[in-house]
Amino acid sequence: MILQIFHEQISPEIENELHFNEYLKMFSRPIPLLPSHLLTPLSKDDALEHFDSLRELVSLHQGGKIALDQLISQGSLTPFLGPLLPFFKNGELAPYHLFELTQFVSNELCLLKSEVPQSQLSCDQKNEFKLLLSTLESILEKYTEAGGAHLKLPSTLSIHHQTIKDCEQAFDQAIVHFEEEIKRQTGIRLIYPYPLELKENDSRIEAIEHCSMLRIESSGNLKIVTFQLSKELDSLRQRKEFEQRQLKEKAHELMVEINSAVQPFYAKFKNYYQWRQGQLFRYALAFATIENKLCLPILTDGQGLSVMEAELPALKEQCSHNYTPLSLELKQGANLLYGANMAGKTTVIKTLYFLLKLVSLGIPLPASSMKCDFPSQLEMLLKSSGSIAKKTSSFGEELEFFCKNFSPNSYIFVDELFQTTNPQSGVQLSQLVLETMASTELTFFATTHYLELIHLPEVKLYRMKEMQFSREIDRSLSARDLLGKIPFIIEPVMGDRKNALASDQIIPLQIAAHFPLFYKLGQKVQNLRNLLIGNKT
Amino acid sequence: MKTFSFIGSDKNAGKTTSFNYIIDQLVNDFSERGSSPLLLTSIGLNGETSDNYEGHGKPTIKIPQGHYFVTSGEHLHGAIGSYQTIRVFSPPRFKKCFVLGKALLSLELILEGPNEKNEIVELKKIVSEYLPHLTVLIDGSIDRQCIASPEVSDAFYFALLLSLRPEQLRKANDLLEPLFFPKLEQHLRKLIEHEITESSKSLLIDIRDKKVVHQSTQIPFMDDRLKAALEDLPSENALLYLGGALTPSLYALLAGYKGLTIALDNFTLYHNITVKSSFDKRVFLPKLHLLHPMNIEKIFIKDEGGKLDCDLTKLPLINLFRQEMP
Repeated sequence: MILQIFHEQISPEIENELHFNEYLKMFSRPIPLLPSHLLTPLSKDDALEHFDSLRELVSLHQGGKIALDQLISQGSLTPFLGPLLPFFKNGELAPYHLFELTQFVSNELCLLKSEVPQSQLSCDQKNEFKLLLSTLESILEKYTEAGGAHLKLPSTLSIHHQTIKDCEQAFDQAIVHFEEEIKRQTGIRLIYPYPLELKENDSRIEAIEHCSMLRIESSGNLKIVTFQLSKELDSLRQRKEFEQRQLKEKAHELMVEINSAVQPFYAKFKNYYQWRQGQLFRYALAFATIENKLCLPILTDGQGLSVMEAELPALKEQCSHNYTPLSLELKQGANLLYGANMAGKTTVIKTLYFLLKLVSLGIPLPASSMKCDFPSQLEMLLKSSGSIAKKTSSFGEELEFFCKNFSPNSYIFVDELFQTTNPQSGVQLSQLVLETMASTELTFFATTHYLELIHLPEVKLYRMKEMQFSREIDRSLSARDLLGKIPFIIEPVMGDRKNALASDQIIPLQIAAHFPLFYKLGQKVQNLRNLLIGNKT
Repeated sequence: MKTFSFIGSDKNAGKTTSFNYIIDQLVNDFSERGSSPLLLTSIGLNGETSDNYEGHGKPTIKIPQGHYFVTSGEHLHGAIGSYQTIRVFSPPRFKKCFVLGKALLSLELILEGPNEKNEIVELKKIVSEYLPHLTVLIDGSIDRQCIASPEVSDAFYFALLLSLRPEQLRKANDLLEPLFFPKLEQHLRKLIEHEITESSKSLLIDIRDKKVVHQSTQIPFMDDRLKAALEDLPSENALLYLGGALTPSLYALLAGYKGLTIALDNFTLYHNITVKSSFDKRVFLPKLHLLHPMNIEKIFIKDEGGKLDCDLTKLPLINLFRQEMP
C-alpha cells in the first residue's frame, strides 16, 4: 500500500519544504489488495468517523482483542481483483478468473473469522459478508476443482477431453510407424511435420516419387518432400479437431452457466471488496499509529487548536538530538507570534500546517496529542520574493492572499505579516488584519517583528523563548552552533507585554555579532551590541 | 531453472518452426529420461496465426499436454477446459494479467509474456517458487534488449534466414557478427561489473589505474562530458562500456578512436548497426567486445540460396529442412 496525496492538495514548493511523501512512507505496507491509496480531503463528518474508527482499532489491539499485524498479514494474502471486476460485472469471467476468485473468497473467509465486531463491522454486517462469501465459495466448488485451478468437467465434456487425448496418443503411435515405413521404402528419415529439401539429383528421389506416403514438389533447384498422411492418420487428425471444436463449444456453454450463477452477486461483492480495501487501510493506519507512537486528533468545534509535542519530521531529521517538539494552544480569532530572527517562528507555522494538512487527509500525527477544529480550510503564506511568472511582487502576493474567502473554522497562517512593504504601512495593514481576524470564527496565526502590534488587546500574543548569550562574544560559534542554542519553545505572553519582550530587541544584534561580517561592519555591530547591553544592565 | 530464448533474423526466418522443434525434442527428453518439464512464454506478443506482411499462415506455438505456459489472460478464451491455472500475475506489479497455466491437453496458443526486464525477472522468480525445476523457452525478438540480460536468458537459439536479397543477407551476417567479437579480458569485465548499475548507459575507465573517468545514465551520443573525456584519455588506455544501443550516430562518433576498447553490454545493442544499410564498417577502428557473450545453443538455418561471409563451420548449425533427423 502506497499512500499518495492528490497533486492539487500540496504545491511542489510546500512538498519540497515539508516532505509529506517522506512521512507517508511509514504507512507503506505490501498489501496486494490495496496497491495504492489516493488521499483526498475528508469532510468533517467523515473525518470524525474515520478517526473514531482508528481509535477503536488501536484500543482493541492494545486491549488484546485483535492483533492488527496479523490481520494485515492475513489481508496481504488476498489477491488484487481490479482487472477481474469488469469481467465479473459483465458475466464474462474466464476460468483463470475463477481461480483468483476462489483464492479471494477462501482467504477472506479466514480473515473474517479473526475480526471482531466494531464500528466498521457490526455483527449483522459480518454475517452478511460471511453469507455472501460462503455462497460464492459453494458456487465455485460446484464448478471447479483444486482450489479453482481448473473446471470440473461434466461427463459430457470430459468425454471430449478423453477422446482428444486418445486421438493424440493414437496419432503419435501411428506416426512413428508411418515414419519408419517411409524410411524403409525410401531410405530417408523424416520427422513429422517437418518437410525435407533435397537436391534435384538426390538418388532417393525416384523411390520417394513412388512412395504413397510422401509428396514431392519442385522449388527452384530443390525438391521439397512433405508428408502425405494416410487415411487412418488423417482421420485421427480430423477426429481430434472435431472433438476440440466440440469441447470448445461446450466449455463455452459451461462458462456461460457459471457466469449466470455468479454474476447476480456482483453488486454485493463489489461492495464487500471496497469495504475490505477500506478496512485494510484502517488496519494499516492504526497499526502504524501504535508502532510509531503517533497520535489521533480529537476533533472539536470552535475551540481552536491544542497540540502537545508535535514534530515536523523533515526538520527533526536535520536536527536529530537538538530537536524540540512543539507544544502550543491557539484559540479562534487572532494569534500573533513575536520573536527574534532565527528563533523558530516560521518552523512553528510550518509544523502547524503540516499537522493540520494530515488531519484533513485522515492521517495519524507525529505528536503526543492534538485537539483541533476540523480544518475545513487551511491556508498558509510564507515569505516569498514574488513571482515573475505571475507578475506579482511579494506585497502583491500578500494582498492576493487576503482576497481569498476564509470560512469559519478555517486555519490561516501568515509568516512575517506585511513585512513585504515599508514598516509604517506594514504596521497599519497588520493591525487592520488582526482586528478583523479577532472577531471571526477562524483561527488566524501570524508571526511578526513589528513591536507596535504587541499592544493590540484583542490579539493573543506569543513569543519564542529567547536564546541565551554570554556577555563576551564566542568567536568559536558558527551559525549552525547558534542554531543549536535556540530553545524553540513558544510561550504565551501574559501581563506587561512590553516588558516581557524588551530583551528580544537586541537579539538580532547578538546574532549578527557572532557572524564574521566583512570589513568594519563586524566591529560596528559589536560596538552597538555592547552599548545596548550596557544600557540594558 | 534454465532459460533459452529464441531470436529470428527476420519475420520469416523459421523461429516458430524451430521453437516447436525444440519443444518436441525436450518433450521427448522429458517423457523418456524424466528431464525438466517445459515452460513456454514470449517477450511481448508472438505466435500470431498469420504473417502480418505476407498474409499466409504461420505455424502456431504448441503447448504439449502436461507442460506449462505463461501468456496474457485474453489469449486463453479459446482454451476453456484445456488448462489448469497455477498462478495469476496481475497489475499493478505487472502491466497486464499473465496466467501461469498447465496444459491439460495439448494446446495451440498465442503466447504473450511480459515485455519489461523487471517483470520477466520477477515472474521467473515467482515461478521458480512454484516450479523450481523447469526448462523455460522464450519466444523472443532481437529488438527486445532485455532478452540478452543474463537474468533473463542463459542461452539462445537463433533462426537465420539466408535469402538471395543482398540487404537481408547483410542483416543475417551482421546478426552473427557479435559471435566473433573477441572475449573481454576477465579483469576488465570485473572492473565494469563492479561499477555499473541497471541504468548505466556509459562507463569510461582508464585501464592504467583502473579509475572511472566518466559514468552516466545519459544517452551516450548526447553526452558532452563523455565526448570530452574520450578526447582527453588516450584511446589505447580507455575502456568504454555501453549499456545502450550502439546507434549509427554513436558508431560514427566512435569510429576514429583507434585502440579504444568498447564493451557492449550484450549483442542486441549491436542490432541497430545491422539494420542500417549505409555503413562502411571497414573504418571502425575501436575493438568491440561483449560484456555478456552470446551463448548459442543452435542456429537454425532457413536456406533460400544466400551465402554468409563468416565461417560457420564451428557453429552449431541445423537446417530443419535439409538435415535428416537422427
